[in-house]
Amino acid sequence: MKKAVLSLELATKMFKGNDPELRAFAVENYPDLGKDIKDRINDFSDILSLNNMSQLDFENRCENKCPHEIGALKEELIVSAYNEGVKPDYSDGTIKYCPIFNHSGGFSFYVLDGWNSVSGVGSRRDFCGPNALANLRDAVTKFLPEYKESRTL
Amino acid sequence: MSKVIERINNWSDVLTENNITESQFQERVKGLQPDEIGYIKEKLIVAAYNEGKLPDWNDDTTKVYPIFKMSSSGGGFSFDGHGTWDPRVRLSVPASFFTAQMHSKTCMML
Repeated sequence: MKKAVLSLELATKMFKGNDPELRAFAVENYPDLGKDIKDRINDFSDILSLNNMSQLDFENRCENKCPHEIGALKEELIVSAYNEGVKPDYSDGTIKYCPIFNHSGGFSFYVLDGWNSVSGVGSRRDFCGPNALANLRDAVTKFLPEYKESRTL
Repeated sequence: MSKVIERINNWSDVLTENNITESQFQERVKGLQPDEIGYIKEKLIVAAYNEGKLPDWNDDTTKVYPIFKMSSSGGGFSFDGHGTWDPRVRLSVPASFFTAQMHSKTCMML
């Protein structure tokens, strides 16, 4: 019954707040909130869930898009999920990370790049937050095909 | 034929270089989110400057992409410099072009 009245978005806000009771209430309703985001994401359906998007919603968003544009959308949703809805603040002095891929001899993760106030890939593709580095590595491991779909011809 | 940097002065020139009319572009982006329209514009801009050439990742030439300042405290969104690794195939411009443009227009970074 409680789950019916507490949305995931609100529960996430509660969980990230400073009130221990609200945090506990949020976790009671959404036990996954207490887990590391890397443990909550295993495949693209988890990405959609964390973005509060159904498969049908996603398919509607894909209408009239080329395959690589669908890949770009997937990439943005992946980053948004790992960032847990937090948008990068380029004035906060923290480093935001993006993956760089090797395009010759196949497509593979090459290295990561990090900046605090600039971006080469845009705000929707930068990983932010205290676990950004580990999240990025997890994302390129689990979602390399989606990155390839987004970033190759 | 004039150089591509001389032919391109505004968005309509980018459409012309891509053999696309404004109405075709509007049809293409109908129903898309603003950032998705921006992404398509960015690809068309790069395609225009690349003059239809696709990057060959095995040719040992450097491909470059722009890096932007994102911080509002730094004066808002503005060009900051260029990276020489290319993370996004469709958004890369040959370094030779970029160097020429940087020198001829602003010499901001080089």
